[in-house]
Amino acid sequence: MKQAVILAAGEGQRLRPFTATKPKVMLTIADKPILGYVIESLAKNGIRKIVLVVGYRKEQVFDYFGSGEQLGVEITYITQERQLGTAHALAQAKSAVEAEFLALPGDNLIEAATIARFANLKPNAVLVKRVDNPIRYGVVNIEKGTVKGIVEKPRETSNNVINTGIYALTREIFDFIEPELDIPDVLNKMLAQGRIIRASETDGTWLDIVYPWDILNLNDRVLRQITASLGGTIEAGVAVKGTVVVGKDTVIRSNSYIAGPVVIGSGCDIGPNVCIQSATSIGDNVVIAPFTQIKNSVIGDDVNLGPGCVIQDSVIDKGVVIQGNFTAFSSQTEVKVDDEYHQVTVGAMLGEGCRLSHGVVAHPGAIIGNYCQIQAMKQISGRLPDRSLVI
Amino acid sequence: MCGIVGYIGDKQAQPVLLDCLSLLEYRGYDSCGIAVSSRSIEVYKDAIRVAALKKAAPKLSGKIGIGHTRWATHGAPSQLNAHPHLDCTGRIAVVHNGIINNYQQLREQLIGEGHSFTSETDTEVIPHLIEKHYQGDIIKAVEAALAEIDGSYAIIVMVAGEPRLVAARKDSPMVIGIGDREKFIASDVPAILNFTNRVIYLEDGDIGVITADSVKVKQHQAEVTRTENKISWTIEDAQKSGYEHFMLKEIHEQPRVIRDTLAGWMSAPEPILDLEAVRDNGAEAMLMLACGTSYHAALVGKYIVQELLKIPVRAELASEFNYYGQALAGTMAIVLTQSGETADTLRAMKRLKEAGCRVVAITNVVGSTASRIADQTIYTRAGPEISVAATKSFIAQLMALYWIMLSYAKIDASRLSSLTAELRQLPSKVQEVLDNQDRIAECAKYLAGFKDVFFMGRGINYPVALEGALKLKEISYLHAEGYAAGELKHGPFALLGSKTPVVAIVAQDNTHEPIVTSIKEIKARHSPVLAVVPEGDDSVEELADSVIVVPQVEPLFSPVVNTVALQLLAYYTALQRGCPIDFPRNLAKSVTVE
Amino acid sequence: MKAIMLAAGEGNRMRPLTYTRPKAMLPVANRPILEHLLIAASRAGISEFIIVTGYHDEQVRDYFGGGEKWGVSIEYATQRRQLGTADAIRMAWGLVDDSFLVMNGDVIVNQADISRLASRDATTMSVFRVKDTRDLGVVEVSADRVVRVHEKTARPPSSLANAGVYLFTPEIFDIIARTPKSPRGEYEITDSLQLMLDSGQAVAYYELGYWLDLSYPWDLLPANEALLAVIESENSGEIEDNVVVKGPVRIGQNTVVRSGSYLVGPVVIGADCEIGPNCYLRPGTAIGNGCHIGSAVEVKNSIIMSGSKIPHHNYVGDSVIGADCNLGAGTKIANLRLDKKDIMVGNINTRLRKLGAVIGDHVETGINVSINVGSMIGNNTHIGPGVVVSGIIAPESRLL
Repeated sequence: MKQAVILAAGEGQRLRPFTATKPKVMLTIADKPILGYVIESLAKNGIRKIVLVVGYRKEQVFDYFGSGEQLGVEITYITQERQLGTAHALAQAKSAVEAEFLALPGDNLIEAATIARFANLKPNAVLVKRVDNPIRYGVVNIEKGTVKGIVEKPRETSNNVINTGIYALTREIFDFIEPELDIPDVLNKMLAQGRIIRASETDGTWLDIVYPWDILNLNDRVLRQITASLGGTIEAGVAVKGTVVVGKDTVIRSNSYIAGPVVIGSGCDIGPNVCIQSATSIGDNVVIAPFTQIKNSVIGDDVNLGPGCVIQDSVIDKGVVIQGNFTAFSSQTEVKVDDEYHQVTVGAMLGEGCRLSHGVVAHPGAIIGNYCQIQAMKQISGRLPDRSLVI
Repeated sequence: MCGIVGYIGDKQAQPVLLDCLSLLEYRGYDSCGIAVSSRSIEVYKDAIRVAALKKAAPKLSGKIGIGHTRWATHGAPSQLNAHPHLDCTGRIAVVHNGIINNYQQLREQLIGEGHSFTSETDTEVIPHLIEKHYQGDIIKAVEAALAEIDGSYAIIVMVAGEPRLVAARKDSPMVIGIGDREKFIASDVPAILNFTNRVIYLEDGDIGVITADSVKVKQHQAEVTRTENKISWTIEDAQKSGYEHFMLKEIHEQPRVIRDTLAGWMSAPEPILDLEAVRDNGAEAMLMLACGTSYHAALVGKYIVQELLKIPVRAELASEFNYYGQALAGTMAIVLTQSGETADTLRAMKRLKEAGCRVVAITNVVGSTASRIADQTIYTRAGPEISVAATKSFIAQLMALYWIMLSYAKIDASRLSSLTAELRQLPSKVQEVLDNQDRIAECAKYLAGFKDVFFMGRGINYPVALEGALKLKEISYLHAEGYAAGELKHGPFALLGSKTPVVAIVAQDNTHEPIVTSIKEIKARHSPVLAVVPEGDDSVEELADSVIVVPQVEPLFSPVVNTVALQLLAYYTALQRGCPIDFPRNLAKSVTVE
Repeated sequence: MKAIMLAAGEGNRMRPLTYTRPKAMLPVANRPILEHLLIAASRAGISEFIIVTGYHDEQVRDYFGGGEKWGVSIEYATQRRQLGTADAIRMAWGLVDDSFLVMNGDVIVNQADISRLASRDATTMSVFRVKDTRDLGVVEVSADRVVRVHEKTARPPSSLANAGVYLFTPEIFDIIARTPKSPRGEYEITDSLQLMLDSGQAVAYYELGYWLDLSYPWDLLPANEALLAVIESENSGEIEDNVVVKGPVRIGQNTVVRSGSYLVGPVVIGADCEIGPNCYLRPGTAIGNGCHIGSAVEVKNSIIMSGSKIPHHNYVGDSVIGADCNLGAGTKIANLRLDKKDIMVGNINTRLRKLGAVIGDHVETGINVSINVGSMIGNNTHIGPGVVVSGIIAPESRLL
């Protein structure tokens, strides 16, 4: 297999506020978008012809990946004007694909080893995996290594083998797509007409990202595999423990304490006396003032954190400005997304461009929309819509 | 004004020449041509783009050749006026970039001596002059011909049957590329980067004799050595990667350009210029000099200097300065040129240097002529800019100016630190403008229905109005004018009416009130108003017909977000009108003639 | 017979040392790897060379020129983009018309093997029996023929590594032209050979008696040791009184070895160096041109590149130090873990129990800096007084 079609057009409604201004594949983990990890895994398996089906906010994909030189791949872009479904997205790429190809989602964390064997299989084939909670996914019924059917989000099931959304296909699939919109439906139709689809199971990393706090799980997973590398300026008296990456042109000032795994981007100004603990990713051009402590969190580009903040298990998107003494503490809580309640241990989720004055406290599970402005000494819990003003 | 290229080596010349020419099209593209020499010279040229010439041209056999892509100055774009030009015998071929001032007189004289001309160009006098002086030694003939010429030139001369090319330059750029058993000549480095990254830059007055194996350079008939340089960049960036146009790609690169500039700042916190000298010299303090879009950056620079350094400063157009401007010793001149090759700007730099001024260049091209003339060069981190309409290079120039001036700011420390913190937010703020592009595209649809558009701004946003108008006219072909808001009542009011929309830039500084007043006056004359307004400012919501909301930033930095909004407005207006956005008619990327 | 030497590659895994020089120009026993190869080949009777250059090609050209210094003739071909070994060989198309040798510029082989390989008359690839095929391509053989050429693989079918030295006939250019891009996006000569095998053409093999492959910076140290083992003493400089010299020591022109220095060969010192007084140079040390090794300094089994200064109270063991570095007084490099375990560099197990540091060019350290085992320090890094350095430090960093 030499070619892969990556579906990168989706928005990811349930991940709001983080996907209000970017496509889901561009969610950043450890200073790199998820799609970057997917393309790297393909390249490591020798798949260097990449067709990216883009749509929602496609410019951000163009800006980051260009023609693919940086990652050593050749990228062809195909636009899906309306996000109607995975099969519809695949159909858009019909003119660009070869006889056999891999099709996969761009918003799952997939490691190279996960698809190493699968990438050499003959189509048609589906990569499947056993999970604890299959009812969130499409469950695949398998007999003697071949697929008998795929049941989307079953109410109950004793089968915990699910569809990873990674397929080895031939151009024949295009004959079956109309009028279906999603690939599993197309595959069921192919099965009904006597086509054989094999199932291949993996126990490698495959992480889906559905809810905002999933970003923290992915971050944790990615940070476990980084190689330490210190760059920029590290002043006297900075303690660096464990695996830490510091980018070019970043300054870490005296008496800061960094316990890896931690990734810090380039051009940041951190400290003095800042404490960053595992597992934390910090973007480019971030300023963190003295006496701020961050643990198990993801901080986006251009964020400015004032003095004396305590941030745990939280995600702060790019361009957020916090004047100081902000507290986002973590504990187990119930968070409501799409009328469903989820029991999670999480701090706060802040959308991009928010401006917080001094002394704001965010309760566990608070989800603050993009471009909110919050006055001094306010307490925030639950969900704030985009551009809210809290006075 | 053109791109020129030459090849001599062990390959067939034609494909090499055409490859190089297609990369030189940004310098001009109304006609092009090539000449290839074996025992005789064969020419193919036409008033078409290089891609069309590639298809149309027959196979010309030979391993020596020259080529040209043209931007007409003397003589309309036509097949006859296209280069290369030949002498009467058809054995001497010449390509030329530049302008010959005394060509009329030379032409008459040569016609009097029996030479016959086929084109209306100034260039054609060169092959005829060489023919006149040619007595077996082509180098002597070229020297003698050039001695009679007054003007600027980069030329390549090819003679049938001779295994060498002769190149010469004065006030027009030229590089020689060194390959194994082959040599290249071109107007700039990217044109030959596919073949070699070893280059020799010719200096003014140099005559180079190039064979497949050697390069010999003479200056005033004495042999000189020009060192070989190695170019480290690649041409990979120059791809559209998903975008329909380079211009949109480059607009979207701006958050990264700003972030890169800021990161560079972090790693070099020491002041980069010696401005102390300027502070001590009160009278003629600082001069900002540039052309075109860079001039608008210079105008913004003027406001930045006044606000942060509080010293006298003036901004001038290089083309005007060259005729009447005064250069006084002791002035610090900051010269802005994206390409580093803008002829007017280079000439002004030379004058300033002669007058004893300290000259600092802000340019985007490492090793460009401007950087070689200047006392000090600050490189912007914009990366290669392909689109003729400058976008990211303008923003990079502004960032360089903020960087320099904040390093020397005479303001109190708390204001300085809040400005620095604000500056760091700019990449995200610009991204916000970009994310709002659908709304801006809607406004552009509306604007595309008119013929004349006014832009107005005040204070530091007055140059932004000029830049907005320039962008609109250069790519959408609409008539657009930028005005200082206070000046509208001195004339332009006579033109206002329901068919002349006004794009008003509303800033949140001390110009806010007067701008709102101006908008009211404009509305009274029934002109549609499209206002660019910072978020949270609802003062013109009732007045304006349409509003583009930009993120709130410190007024000193408002030109950055406002310019990006106007770049998108121009882009989408041109798109709506079906214009060829990356290569507008009659314009070239870097203007190397005066 | 002509020999094509491939010297176009950067060698990513040799960073930071290859940020400023191509891999083939890395010095071992005070000579670029490529020069060792050229000398071995010229002793084997080859007098015409084609060097394929690319990355930092000017350094190769400046150093080797037309080959006069070695009594050979050298032509150059340029590979503008790094598109693999087959593409590099293709650059020499038209410059050879008989059978010819191709040698990767980053391996070390001896004269005897080259002579024997050169005496073959049909396409031959050389192989070397290794214990550990990690990071190497391997070759499957049967009788005197190659059966299959494998890329790096987890379960190698043989212990014969592809040594990167070949004898080809000009027909190879036709095969190269038909070679498809590899999964890495490059044209590999191993794919060309496989193409020959697939179409039924014979490829012979030759088993080398001696071969050193240099993949990572620390591989330079055993190569250095091996090449120093055969040197003979020669003094072109000045040795003051009361200097002790034991074993073979070579001293370059204008170099001064001051009183009280204790040199135990094999040691090689370049030109224009200042050594001592009172320093201790131990076996396996190669010091480039223009270096300064000052008093109370001990250096063992290390490569010190040109222009570097190790002037006062330093210990440098089992380390590679780039050009133009300056170690502050009392800067020391550790070379053995207290628990005596294998030394890791980043995530890579070097399988070495003793390894100091790999330091790029223009690195400056303050006084009393301690550099831990397995540190890798990028070019142009400044390290302040008293700092303890561990792990991988990116180029242009400041540790204060």
